[in-house]
Amino acid sequence: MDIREIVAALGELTRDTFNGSAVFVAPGPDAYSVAQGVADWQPGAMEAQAPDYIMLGIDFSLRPPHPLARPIATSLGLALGEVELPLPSGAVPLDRALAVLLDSDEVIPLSLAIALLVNFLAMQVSPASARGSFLAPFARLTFAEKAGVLERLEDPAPELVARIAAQTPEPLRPAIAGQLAYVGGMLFVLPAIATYIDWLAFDRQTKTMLKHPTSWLLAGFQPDGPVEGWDDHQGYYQDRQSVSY
Amino acid sequence: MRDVIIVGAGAGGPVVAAELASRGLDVLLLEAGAHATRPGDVWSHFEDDANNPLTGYFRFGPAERSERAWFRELPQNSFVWQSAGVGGTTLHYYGNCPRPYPGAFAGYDRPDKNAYDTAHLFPFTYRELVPYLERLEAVLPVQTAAMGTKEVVFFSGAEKLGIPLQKTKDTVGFAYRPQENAILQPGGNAGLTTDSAKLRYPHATGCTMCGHCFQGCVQPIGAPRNLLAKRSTANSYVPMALTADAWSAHGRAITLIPDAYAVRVHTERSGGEPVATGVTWRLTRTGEYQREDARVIVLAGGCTENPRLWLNSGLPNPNDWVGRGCTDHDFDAVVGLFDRDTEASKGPGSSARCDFPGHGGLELVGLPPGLQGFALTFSDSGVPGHYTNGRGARGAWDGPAGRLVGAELKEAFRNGINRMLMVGINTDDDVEPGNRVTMSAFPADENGPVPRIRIRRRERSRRTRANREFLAGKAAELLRGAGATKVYRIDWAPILLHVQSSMRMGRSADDSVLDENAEARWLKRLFIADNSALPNSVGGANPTITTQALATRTAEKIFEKYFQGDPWIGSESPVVSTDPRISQALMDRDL
Ligand SMILES: Cc1cc2nc3c(=O)[nH]c(=O)nc-3n(C[C@H](O)[C@H](O)[C@H](O)COP(=O)(O)OP(=O)(O)OC[C@H]3O[C@@H](n4cnc5c(N)ncnc54)[C@H](O)[C@@H]3O)c2cc1C
Repeated sequence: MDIREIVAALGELTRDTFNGSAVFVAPGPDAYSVAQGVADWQPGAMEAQAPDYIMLGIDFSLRPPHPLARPIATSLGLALGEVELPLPSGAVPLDRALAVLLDSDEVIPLSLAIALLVNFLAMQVSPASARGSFLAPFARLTFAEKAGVLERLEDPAPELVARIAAQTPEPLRPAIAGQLAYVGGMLFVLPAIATYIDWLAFDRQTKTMLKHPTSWLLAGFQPDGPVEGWDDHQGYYQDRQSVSY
Repeated sequence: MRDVIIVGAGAGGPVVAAELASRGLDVLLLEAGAHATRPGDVWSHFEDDANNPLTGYFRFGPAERSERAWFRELPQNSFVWQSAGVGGTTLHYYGNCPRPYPGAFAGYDRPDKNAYDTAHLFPFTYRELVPYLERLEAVLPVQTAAMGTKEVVFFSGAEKLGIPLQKTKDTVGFAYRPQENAILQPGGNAGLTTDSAKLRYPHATGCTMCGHCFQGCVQPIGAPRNLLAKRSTANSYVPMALTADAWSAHGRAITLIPDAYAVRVHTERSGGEPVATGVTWRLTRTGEYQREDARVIVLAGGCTENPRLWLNSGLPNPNDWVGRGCTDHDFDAVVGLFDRDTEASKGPGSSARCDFPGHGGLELVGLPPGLQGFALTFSDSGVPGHYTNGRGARGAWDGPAGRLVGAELKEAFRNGINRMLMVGINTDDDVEPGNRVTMSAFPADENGPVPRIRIRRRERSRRTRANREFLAGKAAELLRGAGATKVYRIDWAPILLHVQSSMRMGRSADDSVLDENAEARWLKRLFIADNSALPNSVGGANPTITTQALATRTAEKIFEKYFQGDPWIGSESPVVSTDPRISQALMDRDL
């Protein structure tokens, strides 16, 4: 197995996992939303490219390698043998591909480690999710099943923490449960921010809008574009412009 | 050798800098983040540009935006809104300046005196702080806020709570009122038009009601820096400090070094005692280290970075209270959906509030949509209908507390950001030793070992929890009274936005780091002058004006004790930060 191909395929698996998590928060008309049984006619997290926002949010917070990424991947890798990872040369069991990766010097992105964890939990919630459409078991779950996974991430079971701790260097072991809860929270706020923020429509270099942000249409915000002020002065409450000392 | 070195140009540091500069001292102010001298060129109204916690210009990180934000370990679902740069987190802030509740101070003797964090009171009386509060109210200046539509809606609910209107600066009982804000109120065309051409200074003065406080205030366009509407310290005390010679008879302009991350406080023994002597900082643009010494060192890096700098410098910590006792107002949010316009994204972030001394306060919070998305999904109570994390309280709101996700989130936004109204809950929370900043086991960054902020969410004191529930109920009642068709309680996870008391001053040497003058108990000539110096959560009122008043008092204490000067607050009339001499000096010096 070629390590480049594995890295690329795992990148796709990661993205597919976060496709599934992004639409949980902000569903739209896309296939992932339809598959979870909660879709929406208006654009949602997929149209907002929220999976990219999530991955950036997870990976950019700390200069790689994230010290928990490899321990998480190592501790869960073997349990993912039922999942298939498509490579150009044909599908391989995920655990085998991971073994090759973990044997190499490649930096493991935290987003990959979290995606593996989310899929590990998905298979606990629904063993049948090991196979099916999409790449990631998590993306195959219903809305209610996804909630079950996120619950397990926000409040991780002691066995799960112990399993990861067994692969983690001593000083960082106490950090595991807290980091999982932290990432659990981020899997809600990052897609929500991505869906309603102006990030896709704004050019940072020129500080101008490239187009009217879809997010603004969704929220009914600044319908005529950016303004320097609003005509919303409603006077002073009971005409009071000062208080006494 | 300088007279004074101050670390951190946020809410507290620049106040000490300007006050001591007005006395003619030689002051060096170090700031880890950028100095936006032409904010209109580098900031924008755009949320992701400003607020992206990893890449935004207000992230807690170096000036160079391609570089990572400075990492802190958060060992729980939680979030820190702190900004680096000249102005610190006041770049984000909403300028709300309620005075602290008198019950948070020593000597308070009204019937509700036991309703407060009585184990951690201010070591002096409320009356003693009032002249310093008055000073701030004059200098910033603080003004009674005008209403937008969202305030009209808020008041229509507040009026039904059966509490009176507060007409005084001091808070003495349950009441509602317009905010007292550090925002220059709308003048000229401001607040009356959306036509950008008519909103330029001097045709418009003060707040143009643009709704972008969080992204930094550059309104009205064309105004001198010290006349921009929101009185972040970047628009008030920093310009004053940089031009002190222009407005004070004995003033001396300070030296400001931005992009300078203090990494070590130096000490030596003098007269048998440890004494602070100097600071080493790292220039974030070049990686070069520099050191200077001073007669007095003042830390004002905020509640997380002060303990970090302290511990990384190996400073004494005999009672183990460095970093402990962090209060965060145990924030929560209750959100109403309306079938009429609230215009919640317009105007200053918050211009109306309710105070419930002994419990905390409520305030209206307007947000742009990305942040509103954050606010609706940031919860400790799971997903209503699916799981609750053992929380999901029920009350005067609809259904169990928890985040909005899926169809519900989409529906809420479809209803419109300008048909929502969010009420923020500022809990009067107790100082608890387990809520603390320590050093993380995560890898050090270029500035040394990194901090870890632990907030024990589910183990807050009984009083803190009861206060939060009380306020959430009041918020829901207010929103219903205002006509909300749906009321959600989010049950926010810890959000570190009002953070106090991690290096607290206190009456007892057993549970405090600072004495009643804000000088370190075990290290002479070292003072702290930001939110971390507060002894408690000031009763749940927004903390900044209290910090700034305390910083003014601390400046006076420093001047008296180490520079043999006389106190001046109360005896000299204050110069307002909008003074034309400051505007002129800024222009002359191209600042
Ligand atoms: C969205 C928002 C709205 C808010 N609204 C209000 C409000 O309406 N009213 C209110 O009272 N409060 C408000 N606050 C809170 C307010 O911003 C803080 O109370 C206040 O800024 C805290 O001041 P500080 O000096 O303790 O810390 P900061 O303002 O955070 O300043 C610390 C500064 O020190 C610098 N620094 C840190 N470490 C170092 C180092 N080692 N070397 C050099 N520099 C260093 C930092 O970069 C920063 O600039 C709000 C906060 C937010 C996020």
